[in-house]
Amino acid sequence: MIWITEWKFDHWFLASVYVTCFILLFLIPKERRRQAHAVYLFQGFMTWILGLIVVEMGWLDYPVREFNLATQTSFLFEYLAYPTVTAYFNVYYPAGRPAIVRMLYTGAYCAAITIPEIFLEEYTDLIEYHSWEWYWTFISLYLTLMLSRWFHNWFFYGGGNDTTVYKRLIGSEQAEQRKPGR
Amino acid sequence: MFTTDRVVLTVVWSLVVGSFLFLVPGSKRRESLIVFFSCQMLTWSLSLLFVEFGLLTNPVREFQEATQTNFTFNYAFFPMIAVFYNLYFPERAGRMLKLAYMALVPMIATVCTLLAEHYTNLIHYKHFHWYMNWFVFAAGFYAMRRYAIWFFYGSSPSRKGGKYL
Repeated sequence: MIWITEWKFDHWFLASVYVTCFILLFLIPKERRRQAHAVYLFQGFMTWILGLIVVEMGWLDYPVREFNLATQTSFLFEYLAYPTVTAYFNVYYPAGRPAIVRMLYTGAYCAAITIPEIFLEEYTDLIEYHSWEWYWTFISLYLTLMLSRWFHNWFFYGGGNDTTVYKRLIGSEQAEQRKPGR
Repeated sequence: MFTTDRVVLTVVWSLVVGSFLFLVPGSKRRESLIVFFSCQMLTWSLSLLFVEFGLLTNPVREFQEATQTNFTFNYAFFPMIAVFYNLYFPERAGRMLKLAYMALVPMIATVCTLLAEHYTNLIHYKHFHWYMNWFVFAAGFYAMRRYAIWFFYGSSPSRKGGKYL
């Protein structure tokens, strides 16, 4: 870790993403909090191992990071930023809308991460592609977001879920009526 | 090829996958997943901090290039112990029994870590001690249980008379 007086743009960028994520997490509506937590945790479960694999295979690299000695992966993105995005993705998912709307919604989230990442790759040391390309980022984000949605639907509406405890999970009657079809 | 380290890792993975599939009852599957995932969040950040500050090292690792921390224990083994800690927690028992449980299960996890420390190259303590390990487990496992209770029941179990547990 580098002391604050020696920070350059990359470090300030990391710090600002930390702050933004914490604020975003607090802004999630109270009655949707459990939904957000469940997918946040699930996404952490996936990004931990996937992030390790992509770095281990040498596909990409994070030259500037928080834990210089302990890991070569991006802790911030995998632990905080991407799970936060996943939480928002699931909380505001347009369930019950046409498939094209849902696809565009998912694609918009992927683009919102992929496009800044291209600039970060180009102009900062936060991330460095080796054999990685921007469309791999887009595809992997799309797939993990879809998986998180599947997990969400199984967790809250899947089988073996008929106890009163689970019925109260989503938190509100309204949410219960807007049950996702898929 | 078949070093002690690799055998240990393989056994741990089979234990975790097998126990989750066969020992966790269906009605507790979601609760167990929440405990598992949230415990991962704890072990993930703490393992990075411990290695970053040089408290311990992991000479043999699954991801040799990508991280200097141990993956299997933090990703699967400790969260699995947290799951069983939560599943068999004696909520309706007396205070002494509860306290004994809260001290002994983390002790099992600590002993497993100490065995790995002693007999394999997976973990080497530098400025780390078994009681620190025990304390982290004891605090972490209980915190994960309270988190799961908040998640599913929204309040403390004693206020509901342990009705749902």
